[in-house]
Parts: sequence; structure tokens; C-alpha cells
Amino acid sequence: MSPINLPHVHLLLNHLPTVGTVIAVGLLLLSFVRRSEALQRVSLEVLCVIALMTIPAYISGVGTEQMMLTPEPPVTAWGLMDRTPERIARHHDAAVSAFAMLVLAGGFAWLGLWQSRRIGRPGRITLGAVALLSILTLVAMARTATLGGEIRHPEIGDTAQTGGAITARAVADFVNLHTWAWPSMEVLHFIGLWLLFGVVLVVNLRLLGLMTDAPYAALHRLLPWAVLGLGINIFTGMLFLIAAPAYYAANPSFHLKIGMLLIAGADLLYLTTFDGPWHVAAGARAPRRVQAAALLAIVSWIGVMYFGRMLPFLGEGA
Amino acid sequence: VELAINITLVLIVVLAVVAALGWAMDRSGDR
Repeated sequence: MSPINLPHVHLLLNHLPTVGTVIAVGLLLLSFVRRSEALQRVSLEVLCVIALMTIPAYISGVGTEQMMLTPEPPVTAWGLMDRTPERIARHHDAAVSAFAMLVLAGGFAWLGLWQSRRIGRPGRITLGAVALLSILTLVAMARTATLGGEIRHPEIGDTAQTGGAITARAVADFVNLHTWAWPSMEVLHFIGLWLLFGVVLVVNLRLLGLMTDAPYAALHRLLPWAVLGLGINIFTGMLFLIAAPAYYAANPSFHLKIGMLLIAGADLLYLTTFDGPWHVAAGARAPRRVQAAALLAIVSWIGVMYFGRMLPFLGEGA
Repeated sequence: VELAINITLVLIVVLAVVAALGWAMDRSGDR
């Protein structure tokens, strides 16, 4: 059993996707009204951070669901909560689509920030995708939050509501009942891993002082492939989690992996939004603080891989 | 054998989509 209290973590983090998406969409719309590129960049950055923080919000939710559905829950004072599996499943079903949409919106927001560096502004298609996806996410998150709130406050609940078109059960059944699904996802997760780590390692090694004849901007060009790798891994990882929640949710190695992922994921944002790395020209060495960030990123990605690989060995069943 | 074929087909389709996406993202960084 992990020392982390998952229900507490979930109650803390579940506000971030909901409130955060409202703020991000608000800033984005305001940037259109004011025609402010600076405000637009801030809205994209907020969306990226919120998308990243939604990963632990979702995972802690799955962990909390597992705890609540056990006949003798370890938390004795669940109070007036409605722990009926149907109500919890409705919240989870809504969360599946909302989480997937927010990750997509975050991915497009990152691409917009990357384009800002390269061509001075986000592409029109990218901005359109961010606007559409973030507004859809806002609706989906509001539903998820309402259905989650009704677990805590069943007295205001509406039992007639449904969770969403894509249910967690349907996703789990799809993965578990098709023999090709799990091994295919496993291969894709590894391809995503080398795509991501290969690029991130090269870019950060440049900042640490290797290959100094290459300007940072040339290596910055490679970063979308790393984000694509991260995208593959978030989606395949999400499918693993939905298909085998009991295996992952309470595994301390998994919690450490996700903790490391937050630091490492933030590095992908740092590498394109901060001026420090961007101004490292051919032949120049990066400033100390940029080098420190590069070292932290490499260590964090190795941590993500290490604790991912250790899942079967450091977990409860080990 | 059927399992191996299915896995290979899934990988070909997904990786083709990933390659197309990566190419489009890369090109979107051109002036």
C-alpha cells in the first residue's frame, strides 16, 4: 500500500482541470478580444500545465474508485458519500472523455507555443484546434465535476444522468478481450518512449555542453517528435490504467513514476517557452540555470523509465 | 500467427498516423 492518501490527493487535484480550463479558455478568448499575443501565449501555457496536472488528477481518481468499491474500504469515515458503483462509474465515464480531450488540447497548445518560437506566432489551424478542444473540454469537465460532486453530496444528485458515450468499462473490455490489444499498446508505449527520450536526451545534452557547435534552435526543431511520443504514451498508459486499475492505482512505483513525469513533462514546456535555452547560439555554452534544468530533466525522464520498469517488482504483489 | 499479424497491422496503422502527424508538426514550424 502506498503511503499516499489517494482520496485526499484526488479531492485536492480534481479542482485543477475544472477551474484551470475555465481560466485557460477565459484567457484565450480575452486574448482574441484584446488582440494580445502575450495573453495568448499565457493561455496556451496555462492549458499545457493544466493538461499535465490532469494526469495525477485522473490517476488519483481511479485509485480512489478502487478504494471506494472494496467491500471494506480502508477509509472508515466515508460520511454521507454515495458509494454505489453506478454513480462512481458515471463520474469515471465522464472523466475518460474529458481527460482525453484535455490532453489533446494541451498537445495543440504546446504546438502553438513551439510555432511561436519558430515562426513568431501559433498557426491558425493550431489555434482553432486549441479553441475548439478547450471549449469542448470545458463542457466535459463541468459534467465530470458535477457527477463527481454528486458522489460527495448525493443529496443534490440527479440519478437520471449518464456519464458519457465512452465508458471506462467498454474501454477496459476492449483492451482485455482482444488478445492483440495489450501487446500492441505495449509496443507503442516503448516506441513512444524512445521517440520521446531520444529527442529529449539530445536536446538536453546540448544544453549541458555537448555538441556545442549546434545552435539550440536547430535541436528545438526536433521537439514535436518528443511531444508526439509523450502523447502516444499518455494514451496507451491511460488504456493500461483503465484495463487494469487494481494493478496500477495503489502501486507506489506508479506514483513515483507519475511524480517524475510531472517534472519531466514540465521540461518540454520549459524547452520552448523560456528564453534561456532559446538564446544558446552555435558555439555558446548554456547558462548554469539552464544546465541545471537540463540535468533535472534527464534525471526525471530516467526516473519515469526506472519506476515504470519497476512496477511489477516494487508493487504490492512483489 | 494470427495474433502476430493483428499486432503488426495495428502497429503499421498507428505508426503511419504518427509519422503523418510528426511530418505535419515539423512542417508547421517552417516560415
